[in-house]
Amino acid sequence: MSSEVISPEAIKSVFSEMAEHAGAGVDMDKLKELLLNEHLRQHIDKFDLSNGKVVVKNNQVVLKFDCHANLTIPVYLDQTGHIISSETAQETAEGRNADESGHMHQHIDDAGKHAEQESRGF
Amino acid sequence: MGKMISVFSCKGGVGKTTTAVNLAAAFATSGHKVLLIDCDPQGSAAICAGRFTSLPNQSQCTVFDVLTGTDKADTFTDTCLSLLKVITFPDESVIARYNKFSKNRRLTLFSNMAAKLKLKFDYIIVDNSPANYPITLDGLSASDSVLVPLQCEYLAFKNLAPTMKLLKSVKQDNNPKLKLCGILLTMVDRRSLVTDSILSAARTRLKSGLFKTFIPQSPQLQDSPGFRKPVLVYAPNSHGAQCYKALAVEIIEKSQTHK
Repeated sequence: MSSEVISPEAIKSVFSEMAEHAGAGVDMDKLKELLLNEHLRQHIDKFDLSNGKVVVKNNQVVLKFDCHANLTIPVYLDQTGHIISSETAQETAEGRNADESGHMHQHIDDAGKHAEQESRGF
Repeated sequence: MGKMISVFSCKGGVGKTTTAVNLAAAFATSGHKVLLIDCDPQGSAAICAGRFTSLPNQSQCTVFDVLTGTDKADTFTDTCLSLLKVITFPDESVIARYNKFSKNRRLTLFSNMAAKLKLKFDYIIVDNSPANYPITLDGLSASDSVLVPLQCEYLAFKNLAPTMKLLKSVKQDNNPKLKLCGILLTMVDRRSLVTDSILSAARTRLKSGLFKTFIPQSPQLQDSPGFRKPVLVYAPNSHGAQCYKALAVEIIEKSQTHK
């Protein structure tokens, strides 16, 4: 007689649900910063976690995720055909990202402003 | 006396049906008598609520039966929850007849129906289509309040203004008593870059109009329609189910504060 009292699928489903909740709550900016400091010295464009599962690592039960990171290494060439130094290029890239992020916040705030105006009267 | 809450947004795919079904289920599981009215031609709400009947579609009680008082008008369809009943959307030929009624007649039929149903149910939740069909506007005109789901992404946030504009015109023209039940952020995914920005802008701009509860992106919420059950039945302990329970509590508390 089998000693199975609960289906393995049920256990797997609980673990996968737990991993999903934990993954949704991860502070992605902080994780990205930590990874950048620890392993990488390049700009990461896209960053995501998937396939959360429960595994044993270093004698403890842990959550394991696959971290997907698109690395983009900007290369800047000036009009004379020379590569701009990596320090200058880094500053330019940071400036561009800050601009784009600022635009995104502005678009979202504009949408909020319109919604706020139309909500008056309720 | 019951309350009639319409779930509406001009934008499709923002979580209207998911919200209507699971909010109705949350009220029903906390002991309230609930009627879910499927006012969307897609007919998804009745399916997702776990419609339980052996009757063929054409024999089931539809919105039109209740509006016009046919002999099927009191035979609400059972669901997988004993306190939750549904009425389905009628077929196209019946809707074509309904659309030929004058606006005044339609509004009178809807407000009479709402008054009768509010004597039988604690909550009547109406799931609407994003399109401005006459039946959608008539339902809004007979509702006590409207709940607006807002998917946590840029285009949905941008489309909130036209939704509020339309609701304001319904309030001004047909239903001065229409209140904003609240704006509900749905499909919130903390991994997205725009999420924090939208959460912050929504809290600043929409203030008390925004529910404190928000609905996360959840695999159980995506899976439950496939099993033809509300998430509160399919995965009652999941995060999504708990959030809809919290939403029901927030709505009850909000209505008590406003009394």
